[in-house]
Amino acid sequence: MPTTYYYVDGVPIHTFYTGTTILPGTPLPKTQGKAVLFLHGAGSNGHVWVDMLQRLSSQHSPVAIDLPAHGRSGGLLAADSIEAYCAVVDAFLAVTQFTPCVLVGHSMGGAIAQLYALTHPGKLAGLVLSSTGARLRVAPAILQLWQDASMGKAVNVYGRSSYSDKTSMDIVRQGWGEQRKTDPRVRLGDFVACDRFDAMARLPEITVPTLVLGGTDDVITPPRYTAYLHQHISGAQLTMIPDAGHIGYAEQPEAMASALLAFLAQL
Amino acid sequence: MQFSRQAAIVGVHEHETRWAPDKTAFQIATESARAALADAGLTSNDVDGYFTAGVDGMAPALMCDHLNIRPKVVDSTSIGGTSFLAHAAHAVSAIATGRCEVALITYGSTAASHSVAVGTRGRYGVEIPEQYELPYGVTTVGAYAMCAQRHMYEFGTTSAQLAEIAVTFRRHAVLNPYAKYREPITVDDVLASRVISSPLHLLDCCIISDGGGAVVVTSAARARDCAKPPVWILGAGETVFHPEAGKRDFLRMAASQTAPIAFAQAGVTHDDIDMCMIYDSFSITVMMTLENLGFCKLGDGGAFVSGGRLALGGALPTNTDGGGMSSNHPGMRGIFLMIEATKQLRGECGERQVPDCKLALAHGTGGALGTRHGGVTLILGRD
Repeated sequence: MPTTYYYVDGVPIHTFYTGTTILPGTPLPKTQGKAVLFLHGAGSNGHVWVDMLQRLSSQHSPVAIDLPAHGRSGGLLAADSIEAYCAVVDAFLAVTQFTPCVLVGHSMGGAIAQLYALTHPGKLAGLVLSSTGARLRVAPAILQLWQDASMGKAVNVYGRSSYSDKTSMDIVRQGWGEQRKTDPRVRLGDFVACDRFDAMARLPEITVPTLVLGGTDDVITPPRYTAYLHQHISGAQLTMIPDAGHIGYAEQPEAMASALLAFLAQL
Repeated sequence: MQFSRQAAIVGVHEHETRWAPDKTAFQIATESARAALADAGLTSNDVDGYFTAGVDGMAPALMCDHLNIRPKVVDSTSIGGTSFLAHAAHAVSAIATGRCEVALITYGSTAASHSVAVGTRGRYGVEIPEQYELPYGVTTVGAYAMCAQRHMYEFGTTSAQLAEIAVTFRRHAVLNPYAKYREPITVDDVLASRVISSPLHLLDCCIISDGGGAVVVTSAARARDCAKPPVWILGAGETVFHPEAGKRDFLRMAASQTAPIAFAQAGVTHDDIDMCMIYDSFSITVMMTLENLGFCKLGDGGAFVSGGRLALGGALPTNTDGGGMSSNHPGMRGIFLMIEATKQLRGECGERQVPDCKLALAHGTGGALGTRHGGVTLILGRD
């Protein structure tokens, strides 16, 4: 899959796209279907979307980015607020001329997408909120764990709580491999940003056509989170993916891709 | 031609990352270069001298390609982790003789995430001059440990004295938000950590991290127009040390040869130095470097480093960033010595600032004590 860099406020943003290779600095191609931008979750990176990009690539123009300080993007410490990430997305869309687009946000990426839909509705053609919530409180023990990891006190511990019990260890290990790529200090910043995020009261203001995706076995952002989003965003559609935990795109990629394709076809 | 004040450091950047498995060494170096140039108020179009090390063969050309610069001077002198200090000295010469005006020095490495066993491989004995080490499989840490053993045998130096160095630098790392290890440690923690090569414990050794940095050096005239106040390169001494055809001395280092040159050029004395940046590959390296630089007599290092002398607030604050033992060590730490010294002289170090810092000394050692190593001393000063 081709990748390129765009300089956004001086920070090189690593960008995955599909189709023929483009020259550096040229706008992102939106030659077919919908322009779709994927945003990864806390401590993750754009590479996790490669499979989903390929599944959409024959009909649409999908793109994924590494947020600053994640993956291969520059920028050195995580923004510690969803607002800051939102500003990055806005600047990225301006530099790449990739509007109007459909924003697909997973978990923390979903928080960024909600805020972006609230603040820049004119630049979006649609909104997909995958395994996320209107409020993303992080347990104090988790914050402490990553605080310790950032200070060199704790070994990074990854569990399988993000995954459904039915998901194979191969997929879980692949996910851990992606998570390990992130500096613990960056992940901590992400969790702090999530912890501060609360859009519960503002959901009714979202006017963009919205699809809410959730995993039936998700314990990180459980089905009641997705149900809340579905109920409070007017006209939102809901698709629950069976046998998926928090990492639906890796656990049940086919189900997620078909839900996405069906939604994009309606827009 | 006088060396002192011909050129100044006007831009520095230490890459904040300590863990970057998804990045390349080129990317870390490039991000650092952009930030250091921005720090100086310059752009890559201004660069006409390029210096780097830690990369093989044609890599300086690859880096110039990557950065899209067309330098008039290229230098990839490689004498171990200290190489970048030599580059700074070479940059002064190149600038003083008009061969270039804006010199960029960069470094990038992913040693940690690519699992490079810095210092623990049996790497000596590959080349002919190393034939006397080859049969014994000496590693880098093994060579330094021999010197530590000798120091203990000759002078009664103790592990606790060496441990105080590690404890002090960790206290500094607590004040550095970017340091890799920030949990305070005690002398007992160091002594209880496992022995890597007797008498050096795990916590006597530098860490392995990812990272990189960049430094911009320019002429005295141009420095006046830069964004930050200049940090003058007042003196520089450089050499390589080796077993001298069998007259192997485990207690002498390159520093004994480079320091007098650097001090003479700068026209200052040891008492004038406000803070030191010493390449701390191992605790013994710091103790022996201070002796060889002339801060204390040979053999007095154990007593010299005791009683908090090297700590912030002590008489000779050293490695205020936490050093290679706590902050970062991607394999070649030399560049970070210049960067932290420059920040201290500019007064940019926040909680770990040395009050009214006017003169700093940076000394890098690359390679291994007791066998072959490069050594460079730089004396830096503000206006």
